[in-house]
Amino acid sequence: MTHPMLRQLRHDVWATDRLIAHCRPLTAEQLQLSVPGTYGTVLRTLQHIVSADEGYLVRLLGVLLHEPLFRQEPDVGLDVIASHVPHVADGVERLFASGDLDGDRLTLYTPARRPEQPRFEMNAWAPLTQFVHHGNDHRAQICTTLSAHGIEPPDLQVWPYAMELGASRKANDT
Amino acid sequence: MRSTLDHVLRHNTWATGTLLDFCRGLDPARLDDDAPGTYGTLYATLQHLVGAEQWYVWLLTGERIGTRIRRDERHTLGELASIAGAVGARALAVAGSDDPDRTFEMSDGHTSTVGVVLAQLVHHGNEHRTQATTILGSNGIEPPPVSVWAYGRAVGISEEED
Repeated sequence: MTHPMLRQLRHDVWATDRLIAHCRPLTAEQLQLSVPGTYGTVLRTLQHIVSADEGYLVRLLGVLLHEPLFRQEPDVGLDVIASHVPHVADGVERLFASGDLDGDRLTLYTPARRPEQPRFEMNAWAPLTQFVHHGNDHRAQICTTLSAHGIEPPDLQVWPYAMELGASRKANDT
Repeated sequence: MRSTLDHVLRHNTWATGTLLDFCRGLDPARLDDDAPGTYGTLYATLQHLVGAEQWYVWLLTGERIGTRIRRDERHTLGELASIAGAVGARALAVAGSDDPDRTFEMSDGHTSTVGVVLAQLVHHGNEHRTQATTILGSNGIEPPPVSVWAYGRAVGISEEED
């Protein structure tokens, strides 16, 4: 049985990867599009999604995924952002390699913390749940931006993901 | 030990409830606000969000919780909040007791699993709440914080930015 939380996170990684792929044919100008009420440009938002995903995983795993850290600044291109998705995918699998996580486990620190930043303690469920919320939140903003500028956004729902995996399929009625 | 998905579902229900409560305090005319690229008006988005969750739970349990939400009928935000809370509690119970790999047939003839529907419920809620907050933000209204950090503060855990 695939753990439901692992399934949720795998969908998240799939959706981000699909969105990046969808943005590949866009021009540099289109990647700089945004709309009021959202986080920022398409490119900046994608970077924010992936760098935050890495940050959540670093806290949950207690180790850096790679060095140097993929931080929010400076602005980078789509290739660089895409190159970090496998790190996220790998981190998600490592997180569930030995079964379910204890969501009540207290994480005392994150190796990603800068010296000048305060240290926060939190139960593991918080960054895990935020991972799911955050990715969906910002992907939806990018899809809104694309739509608002006449660019058809990709379908990032769980239905097409499940169809790809065969977890949802046309029934063979006889 | 509480399942990690349990927290995701609790956050989902809390965030929708928080958003609905916030919108109940707005001038009702603002519910007709919209923004380019989103689902529709603020009201239509909220109604769709709750109606879909009601449908997901119906798919999983065969139970229609609360008055059936139809696209062409307008409900009060209080009604939507009440249904959203009850549906959220039912989804949580399903996640805690049903087999995520249980397969069932949907109305369109496709088969799916409990786990897929629960994952879609979470995705769908986040997606449309974001559209609602985008509508608020683009119309000059600071939306309520509905991140997990805000949820954590509401239930008394630690917090972090980002």
